[in-house]
Amino acid sequence: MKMPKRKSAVLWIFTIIVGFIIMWPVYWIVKSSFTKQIDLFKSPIEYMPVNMTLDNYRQLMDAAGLTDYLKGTILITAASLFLSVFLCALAGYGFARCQNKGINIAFAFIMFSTMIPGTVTVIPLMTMWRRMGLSDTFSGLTILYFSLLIPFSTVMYAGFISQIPPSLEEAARIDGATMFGAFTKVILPLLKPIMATLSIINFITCLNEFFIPLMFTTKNVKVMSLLMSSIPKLNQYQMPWGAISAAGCLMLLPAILFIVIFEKNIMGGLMMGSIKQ
Amino acid sequence: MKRKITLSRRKTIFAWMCVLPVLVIRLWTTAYPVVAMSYYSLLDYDLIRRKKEFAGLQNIRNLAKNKQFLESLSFTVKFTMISICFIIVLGVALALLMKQNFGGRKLIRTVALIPWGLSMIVVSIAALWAFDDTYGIVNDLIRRIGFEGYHFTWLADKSGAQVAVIIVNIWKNVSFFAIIMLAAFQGIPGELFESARIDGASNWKILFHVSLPYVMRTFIIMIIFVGVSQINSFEIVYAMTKGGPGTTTSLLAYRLYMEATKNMNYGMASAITMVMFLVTAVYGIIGLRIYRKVDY
Repeated sequence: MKMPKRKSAVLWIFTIIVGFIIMWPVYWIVKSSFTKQIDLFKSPIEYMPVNMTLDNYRQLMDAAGLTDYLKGTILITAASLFLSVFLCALAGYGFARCQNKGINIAFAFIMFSTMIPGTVTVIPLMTMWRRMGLSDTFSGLTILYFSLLIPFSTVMYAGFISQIPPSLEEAARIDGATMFGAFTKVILPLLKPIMATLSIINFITCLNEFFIPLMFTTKNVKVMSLLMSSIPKLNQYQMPWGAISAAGCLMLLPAILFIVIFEKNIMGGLMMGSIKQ
Repeated sequence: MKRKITLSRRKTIFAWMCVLPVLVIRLWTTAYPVVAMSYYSLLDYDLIRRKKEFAGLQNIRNLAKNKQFLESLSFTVKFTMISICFIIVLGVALALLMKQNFGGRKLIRTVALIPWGLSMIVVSIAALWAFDDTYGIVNDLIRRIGFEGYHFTWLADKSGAQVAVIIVNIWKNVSFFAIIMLAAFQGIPGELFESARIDGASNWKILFHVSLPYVMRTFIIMIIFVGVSQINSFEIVYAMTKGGPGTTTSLLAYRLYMEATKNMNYGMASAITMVMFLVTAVYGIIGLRIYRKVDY
């Protein structure tokens, strides 16, 4: 059924308005990151790219120590993603295959614990982390990042696994596999598609997390989300907007790239999660 | 018979072992801190004065007298309510747009995901610059669309700063709400629309009498979910206004941050957290009450 021309035109107009409101600031940041610091302080603003330069990125490398921030983000994100793929899938398996009162309460707790925000838990965690020597360490941050990923990932895995017929693992068990073996050999390979989707969503969550690194790091551990607000000022009056937008760009480009390539998967993942909950 | 019982017991034990790592980490990082926080809020717990002793409700009493705290509380309520209202209306509109089957469908869905995928801290720092009075894009755009010479120092003005913070917050949060509402709208069986059309219902009537009632449960859950995250917003004020001018945009989360990191007064900070937790809980419970009443 074809849509009447007029309705289609109205929809396009709305699409363009929404697109403008969302993309205009994003474009402006990206463009500014390639503009000389001095050209950024002009009024009216020059929106067309002129005199493109990589100076801002160079300044990030030299003055701000970009590599430390990249290293921190990559290490912590990779470790939390690895843990979430394996442990959340395992938990999802337990929740999907066994139903009794205790297990159901545990599942409800994990689901509702998303409602407890980081601001509420931060002070006791800071004291505990300091006491245990975990604050400002990679392992300490990884635990917190991983914990952040647990509710959504576990609920998604549980929902996905409950659609896989148990007869598959039973066949493997009859062939002599242990319960754990049945999980790793039969279930895990079947989870590949949802693992990919969840890893993309979880990657974006980890990259964007700010409150945890702000509160739990001092000088050893650095992550990308802290970079923007820690660029040294040029002088008392001038914010280093060029370098700040370059840092912002490094944060938004991976996210936007993933969104453009995996729009369908991310949309599907978020929607599925919402229906499950 | 005996073997079967042991097998099912073994299965239960195995299931517990599967869920244990995740459950322990979650209990350790959310349930325990809530309990500890409630206890801390009753202490005179100050790192600078090196004190940690029981003080009862002294912290809460101090808060109730503290003008700045009350200002934070009222701004947090205002911030949350205004944000949610706009997020709901714009979110539903965006969801309806994304649901349409037209040539721009893939484009609008991709674009709508972008604010969801951006970090709140990046958005907030960018917004600090965007709302700059001379070099920011907001004033620049207003000047370009015909108000030449327009000049407003958004972030130095009390209501200007509050409005700016709320606008940016809405910009960031509409898309997630819209995506989930889209999922809900897509779950509505097509026959419902057809029979409504045959009865001669208009588009608005269909929206308010067919679509929205059908997705009411998801709708309420999302309002609870988004509301809870608004009550606890932090980054936006941390990066955009530092709570200012004065303390006019200090959300509770920002006040908590200042109390914990600058004043190092953990007892007081915990008391603020306790207030946030209670506000969140009351909000959540009212939401769930309404949720239970809806049976569609």
